[in-house]
Amino acid sequence: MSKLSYTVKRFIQFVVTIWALITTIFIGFRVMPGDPTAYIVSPYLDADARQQIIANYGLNEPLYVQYLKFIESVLNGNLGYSFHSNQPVADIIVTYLPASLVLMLVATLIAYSIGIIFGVYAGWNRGSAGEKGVVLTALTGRSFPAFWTGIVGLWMFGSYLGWLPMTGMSNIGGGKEPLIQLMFTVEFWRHMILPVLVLSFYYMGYPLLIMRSSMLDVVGEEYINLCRAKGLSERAIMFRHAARNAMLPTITASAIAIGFAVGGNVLVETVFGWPGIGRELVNSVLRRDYPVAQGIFLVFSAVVVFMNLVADLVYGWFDPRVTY
Amino acid sequence: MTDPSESTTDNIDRRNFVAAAGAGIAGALAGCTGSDNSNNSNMDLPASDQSELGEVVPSFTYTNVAQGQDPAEHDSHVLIAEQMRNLGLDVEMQTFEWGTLFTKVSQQYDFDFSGWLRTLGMYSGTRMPEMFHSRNLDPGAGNFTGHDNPDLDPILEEQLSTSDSERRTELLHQIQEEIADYASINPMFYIPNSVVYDSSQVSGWVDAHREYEFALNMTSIEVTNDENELRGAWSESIDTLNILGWSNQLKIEFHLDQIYDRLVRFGPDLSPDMELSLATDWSIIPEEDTIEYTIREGHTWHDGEPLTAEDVAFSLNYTKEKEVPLYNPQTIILSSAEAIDETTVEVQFNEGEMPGPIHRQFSWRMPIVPKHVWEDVDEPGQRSVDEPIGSGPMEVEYWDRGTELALQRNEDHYMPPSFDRRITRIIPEASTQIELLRSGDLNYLSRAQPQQLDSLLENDQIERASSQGSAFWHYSMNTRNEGVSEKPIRQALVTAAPNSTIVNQVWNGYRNLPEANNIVTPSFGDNYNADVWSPETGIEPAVSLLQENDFGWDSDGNLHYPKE
Repeated sequence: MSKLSYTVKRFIQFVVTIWALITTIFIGFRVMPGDPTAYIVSPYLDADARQQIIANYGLNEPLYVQYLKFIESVLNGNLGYSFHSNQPVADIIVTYLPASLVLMLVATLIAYSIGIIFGVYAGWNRGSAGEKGVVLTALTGRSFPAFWTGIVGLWMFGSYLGWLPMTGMSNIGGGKEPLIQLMFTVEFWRHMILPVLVLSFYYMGYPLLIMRSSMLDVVGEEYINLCRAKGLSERAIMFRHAARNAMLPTITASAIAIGFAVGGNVLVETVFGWPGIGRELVNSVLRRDYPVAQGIFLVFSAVVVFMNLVADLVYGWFDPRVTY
Repeated sequence: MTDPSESTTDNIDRRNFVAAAGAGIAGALAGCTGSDNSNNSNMDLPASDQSELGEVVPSFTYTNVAQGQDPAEHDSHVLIAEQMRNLGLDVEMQTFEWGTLFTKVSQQYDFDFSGWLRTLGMYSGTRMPEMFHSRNLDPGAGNFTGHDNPDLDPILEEQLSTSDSERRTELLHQIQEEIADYASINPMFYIPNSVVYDSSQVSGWVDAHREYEFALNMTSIEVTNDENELRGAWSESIDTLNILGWSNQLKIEFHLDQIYDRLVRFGPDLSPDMELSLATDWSIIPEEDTIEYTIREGHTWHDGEPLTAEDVAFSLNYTKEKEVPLYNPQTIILSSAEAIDETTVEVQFNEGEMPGPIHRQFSWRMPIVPKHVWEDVDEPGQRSVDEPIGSGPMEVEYWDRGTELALQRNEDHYMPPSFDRRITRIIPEASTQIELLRSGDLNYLSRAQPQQLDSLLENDQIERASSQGSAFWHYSMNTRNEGVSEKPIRQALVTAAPNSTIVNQVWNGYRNLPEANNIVTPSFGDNYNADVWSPETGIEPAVSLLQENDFGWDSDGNLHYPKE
């Protein structure tokens, strides 16, 4: 199969997967227990107004009609209006997604950079004290829930020492600035330190352990001995030859991790008051705000599936042995 | 304060409290539903000879909220169910998340017992027809307890329509007596409004019938920090500031209330507050179903445009024409509004439908919006409103969704607040809110949880203001169902309900919650009737009440109907 045929085939699979996702998301929310109007409308509102709102949102229509309308809206690029706030879902995603992306991408970048480097080191130096220390640190980071580490960090550096701000990405009463402008302020990065450290510490373990494991497979290969026979330095062999060949599983993991970054991290966003999409997603699910939850899930899932596709396509670039 | 471990008036001691609450927790942990049918009675029920007993009273289902969702509510219901078992009833506890519970109780009437916090708003009689009128017995119509008394229906209707306040009070008292006697709804205690604040920065809170974050307090308090800023927090994002598109959430109303004026606002005693109201005078003509409001002269919108009677008439007609659901109870009785001159608006109601307590049912509620902003908007509910133009004592300075809302003083308002800015920060983590209040970065919190209050109030500068509000916590009985349809059983359950145990052991963080005997709270003033049926509580009086009505118990302690 040529690379082009493979790409076309994978793209068709991508479209079918997205349709399956849309359908699953739609059905998933409808089978959840609970009347959405219990959350949309205050229990203090009278029964007549409640019935009118149910009709306004089309919740009294047959399920297949609601499904067809949902498909039609998605195809038109219109994700509908929030039950909770009556705001367009697209606006809500555009409002909250960038803050999550900045936080998650910075944390993922740091976590994967450090994780890959130390994973290579640990695999290359199997059995050394350094390897044991690195693996222990990775397992520790992975074992502590990020929200717990976050609360401890907040208490220590925010409340007790007072070195770092405790909530949000700007000072209380500091005014409103576009995120892109805010990112060029010291204030923003001070607010970023704790959540980024907490997330990086948590995420770092995964690529580190994968990389270490892959390195262990590679270091015994004959071409490594050949490199040594050629007189290459240990560092050059480790990073240019061994690490590059051991990278494939980490590429898959990192592509999916970037996809997951779109979903934010609800617990860390909640603990640090970070105005991200993860928090909104959970709130929308708890409120049975179908349009918002469906919209966020859809974007989130589509990006994960898309990043998986990208990872498949770039395999060949990293490893010429991969054929299609 | 009562030592929780010594509370025995309800025949539930501390050991049984822990056991009962533990059973509920175990049930919640086990899954969505849990049950415990043990009959763990504290007193020996008087057994009768089988030949003197009728049929055994059937089993019941108690519909409870999941413990993780609201531990205090959940545990309270567990205690009530335990007390029912102590009275010889077979009660199965089922736990659900809030949406399912609400649907089962309010929409499907699929429950025997259930309950949550309720409030009657500004006028105690507004929701009563919905909850107790026999025309609302169908599923979803509102009468979830199945209260069915045709004699009550005309009284429920008249109290809404009469403009004679003395007659209204008399009718409301009759309704409360009937509701208490019918015993389909058991108000257990009243929940006060409260606010905790940094007294070195904020002072001057006044008692409030509806929460502390409305204009009454916002125009009364003094702020003494360098920035002259009031700084509070909310745990969820403020998602909309569209006064014609919101859905009655308090977090939104707290801010819209300052951004927009109301035709009539109220003081602590629920009488019109003429300093805060947009209307300076009014004339009611009941026989013509008409009211004429005189609007404040020289007042302007936040964008500087004059606010006229034309704007007020437009607001009322527009809200009706666009069928904004939130204001449906008001617009279905409204016929039309017309500006008579620059400052006078005549409002015509449908024949015979002008509300008696017109200000508390209509004037206070209706949104007043600028005609020049809204007249070309076809779908007001779905409009994105980033910078709402109102005429209230505060205007939006900036709104960073998900992070912060800042309102600033409207210098041109007739009753502006004394401080410059009000910041509402979105902080989901409760412990962070508390720390920021302690550190002085925030200076008030209106939503501190009971369990947080004790540690907060240990700080010298943190104080709490509290006043009687309109909220009460209750459990209700579905009188449609066999067993609960029997008034003596309902009255016995009200009598046996462990009010003091629940107040002292589950909700003690609130400190001395007033026990309730009436769904109308004392903060409604004259409308509150203190003399409704209010039995001595406990198992023994409940047993006596059942015996007086010829109910009895078998040797296993199961309650039986009277022999026919």
